[in-house]
Parts: sequence; C-alpha cells; structure tokens
Amino acid sequence: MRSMAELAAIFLAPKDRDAVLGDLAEACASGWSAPGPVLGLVVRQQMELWRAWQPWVASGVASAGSLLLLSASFGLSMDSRQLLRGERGYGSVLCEALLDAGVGVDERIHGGVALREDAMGERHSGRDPVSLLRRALP
Amino acid sequence: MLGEFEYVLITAAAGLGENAYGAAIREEIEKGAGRTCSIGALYTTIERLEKKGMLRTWMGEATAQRGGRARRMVHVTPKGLHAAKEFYESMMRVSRNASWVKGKPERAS
Repeated sequence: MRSMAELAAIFLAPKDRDAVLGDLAEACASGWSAPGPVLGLVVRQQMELWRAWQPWVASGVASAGSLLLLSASFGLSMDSRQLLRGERGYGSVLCEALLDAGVGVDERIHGGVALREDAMGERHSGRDPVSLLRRALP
Repeated sequence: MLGEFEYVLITAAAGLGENAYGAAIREEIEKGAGRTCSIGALYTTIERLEKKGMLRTWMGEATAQRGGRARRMVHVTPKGLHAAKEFYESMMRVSRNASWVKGKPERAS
C-alpha cells in the first residue's frame, strides 16, 4: 500500500519525488507528519511559477478571451433561440452578421418562422433540429 | 544579491562539500543556524539558485537507509561562492558599527 507521503508526492516531478521521499525516509518521518512537507513543497513550487510576469499576462489574455467568447456565445444562443421562435432578435453578433449579409429584419423574421417550422418538422421526424439551424446559418 | 536563506543554504552546502544533499543540508542549517528548515523552502531555494547558476544538482545513488531512493546531490558553483562571499562581506561592512559586534562599546541610551 502506498503511504500518504507517496500519494502527496504525485504532484512533484519524478526527480523531486525521489529526493523528497528519500529525505523523509532518512528523517524517519511517517504517518500523518509526512504529507505536510511534501504538500508544502508542491504549493511553494506553484507559487514560484507566479513570480514571473508571463503567467500573469497569459491569465489576463485567457480571462479576456473567455469573457469575449462567453458574451459572443450568449448572444448567438439568444439570437438562434429567437430566430427559432420567429421573433426579432436584439442586434447581437448573429443579427449583425445577417444584416451585413443583406438580410432585412422582415426577411429575418420570415426566415425565422420558416426555420422554426422546418425545425418542428425535423423534430417530429426524429432528426436533430440544431443541424438544420447550422445549415441555415451563413 | 543573495537573500538571507539563499546565503545560509550555499554556506551549508559549501561546508558539506561532496556530501551535500537535501537532508544533510537541512540538518546542517537546523544545527548551525538554529532554525527549522522545511523541505519546501529547501528545495524551492535549491531550484532557484540552480536557475541562477549558483548551484549544480544531480541525482546520486540510492541507499537502503532512504528506502531505495536517490539523493539529490548539490555542488556550489564558483558563481555561488562569489555571491556568498559578497553577501558575507557586505554584512560585515554594514555591521561594523553595530553595538553587538565584538569589541564595540555599547552606546549609552
């Protein structure tokens, strides 16, 4: 059976794992006292990474990108929902894309109604209505 | 310039010479400096000093005493020795007028 320290050492690099577990064995540390120093080292190694500027820049870019994608996907889902219901959308990414493609509001509404009817038909026939929406999008 | 713990670690490793490895350095620091030294502090500092080129480490042989696990041997590079010497000298310079330095009379308050 693996000791608690060995389980905690999973998070360490193989080289560090051997050295640290060997040091603990030499110091006769066992039972509940052993995982503490190992986890302490894991936490310190992670904190050490954040001393450089690169992880901060990467996390900033990732956060901004995910917020942008979140708002775009939310707008897209709201638009597609409204298109399926045959209602007018409220000017998000999809509506703007349709307008840019030269599709007027009325056409969008009619298109949405037709799309909804097609989707209902697809659903009744046991097929996936989302694939229809995908085909209908420019 | 080195940090205080970095200096203590380099000094302990240099004193141990060819027998410098994780557990031995830790014991030396606890015995010599009279302070506890966690494994986390020890290994993160060793890694930092190795990146700065002040230490060189390699995996030594495994022993039965260590449960068949290898030692991480430590060697202080000339750059590390130079940095430790500079730290020591600057501490000596900055302390020369301190009241606790031997031979210096205590100032009346």
